Amino acid sequence: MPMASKRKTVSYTWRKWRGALGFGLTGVATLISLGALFSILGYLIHQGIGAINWNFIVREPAAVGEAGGGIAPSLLGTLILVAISMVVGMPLGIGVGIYLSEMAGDTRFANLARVAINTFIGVPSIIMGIFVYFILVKPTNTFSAVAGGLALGIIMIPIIARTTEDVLRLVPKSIREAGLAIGAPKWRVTFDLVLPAARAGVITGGILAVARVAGETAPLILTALGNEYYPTSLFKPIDEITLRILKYARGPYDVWHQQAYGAALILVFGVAIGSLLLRLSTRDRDALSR
Amino acid sequence: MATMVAEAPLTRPREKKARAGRGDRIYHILIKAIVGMVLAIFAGVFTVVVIGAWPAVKRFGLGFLIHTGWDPVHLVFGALPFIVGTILVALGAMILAAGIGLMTAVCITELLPRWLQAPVTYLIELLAFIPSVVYGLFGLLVLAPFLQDTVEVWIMEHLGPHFEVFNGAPYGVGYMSAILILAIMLLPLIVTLSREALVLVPRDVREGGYALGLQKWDVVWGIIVPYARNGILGSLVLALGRALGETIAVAMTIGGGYSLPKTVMDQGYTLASVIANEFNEVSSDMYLSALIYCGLILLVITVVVNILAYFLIRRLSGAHGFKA
Repeated sequence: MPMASKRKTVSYTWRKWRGALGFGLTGVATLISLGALFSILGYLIHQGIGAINWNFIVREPAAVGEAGGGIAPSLLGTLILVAISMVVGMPLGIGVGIYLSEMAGDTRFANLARVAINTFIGVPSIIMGIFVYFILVKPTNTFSAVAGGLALGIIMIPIIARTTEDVLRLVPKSIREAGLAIGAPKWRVTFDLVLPAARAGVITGGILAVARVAGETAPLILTALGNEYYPTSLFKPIDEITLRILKYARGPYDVWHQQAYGAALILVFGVAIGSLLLRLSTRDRDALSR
Repeated sequence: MATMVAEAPLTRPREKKARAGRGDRIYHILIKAIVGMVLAIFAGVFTVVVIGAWPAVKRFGLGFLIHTGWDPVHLVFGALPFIVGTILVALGAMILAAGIGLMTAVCITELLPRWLQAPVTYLIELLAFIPSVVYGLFGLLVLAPFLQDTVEVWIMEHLGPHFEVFNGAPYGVGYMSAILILAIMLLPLIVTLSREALVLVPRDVREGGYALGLQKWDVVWGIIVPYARNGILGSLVLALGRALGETIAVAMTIGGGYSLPKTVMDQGYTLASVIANEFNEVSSDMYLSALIYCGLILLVITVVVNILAYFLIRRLSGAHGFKA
């Protein structure tokens, strides 16, 4: 560019070369991006596949540093934590989404709520961990599954609220007017017409949020803590797959490292399936908007 | 609501209207209660973090922000190294990710044939679905040892004697590893959002460039990218928010250290990663409170960045919200 502005005329050859150079650089950048993806995924599969077998999925962890054993408690704990987070996050998130799309319009309060939602999406998840630590872990004097699930649920709320608002807004006004015209009360219009019409999108938002919290580690360090056993109570510390990966990755044993790769592979695979479903259902949503 | 209920008797039989009115009243109360609850939780998060940090705020005041030193035994705490660490790691990762990400987005929209665009975009989006602990795992066990044996040794031997910032010991884990891992994590965010901005550039603008006899590259770099700059800027601000708050991947790769960094290979902490790594080692209430004070600083920084991003993108797009 500086070259171009200094010289009054730019030769055709130079322009052609400059284009080739520029596009070449973008190509290199793309190869770097894809290379990062493939080296991470490739290494994960290469190292992790050897660790995964039936015992790995159904057994408890072996004694420290010994071979064998599995991550069954972590998998179970992950399911429990995600379930608790959905109980917290889904109704609150969808409720806020309904409010923003169906009731609020452009009032000042609605805009305040929107700013709050969008701000909270960006708040680091560890902050939610601090919050739950002080309101639940410290008063009850124990780390617990409930605390972990609550922290994850709070992280879900703004994500679900925003996608719900977005997809409800895509539902044509005529559907609401048709409902109101036959005398249906507003709540029936929302729950029997608008929500079903936007079902695919709302589910997409849910999957997105679950995929996001299933990979969260930081808030769980402050709330669920993790342990070595099957969960026995919702009010005791509980293990989770990312906590297990963290522990094994930091440990000194090669066995642990290999199991960390195995667990990471299972986690990525699970999240990738979620993303695939997401992609399929987004296609539906695009169809809806047209 | 009140007006709806009052108007109803004119148009509908008494009994039916009463039922519909009650349903809607419950519906309104329920939804508003949910909104109130969520806003209360958000307010509660701020309040709790401030209360948790209060003992440290009272004891160290704003000096906490500009002092170095982290001594849990003598209870002397200063967060300057972590603040500096947060900024350095975020900026370093942003510079790498912004350059490569924007170039990748340009390549996808302008260079690749149509049939390749969607698969490549999807592959890069896949990076966004890898949980941060997995990035941390890769950084800690693969990238850091690799850097330690190759790049860092070379830098130490060849650049170290000439530049102070390269004159460090090759630990592997440290600023360099953390910055590289974080940059990879930011890539998908920047690529997908900038790609969307580039795709939205109207055809006329592009054709206007060609009509002037410009080369393709000049149209792309001189017209299309500047035209899409608002969307690209938005993606960068969002990525910055993410970079400042990333916790576990940085905690696993930055090594840990309480002093100001002197070289790119030093070990250190960011505000988020110091909380994650030290939290379970806390030995006193003041220590805990100092960590929460770090969280408070982080919260304020990210909230400011996110509010700026929200208004920036809202103003630029003229629509409600934005997609991340």
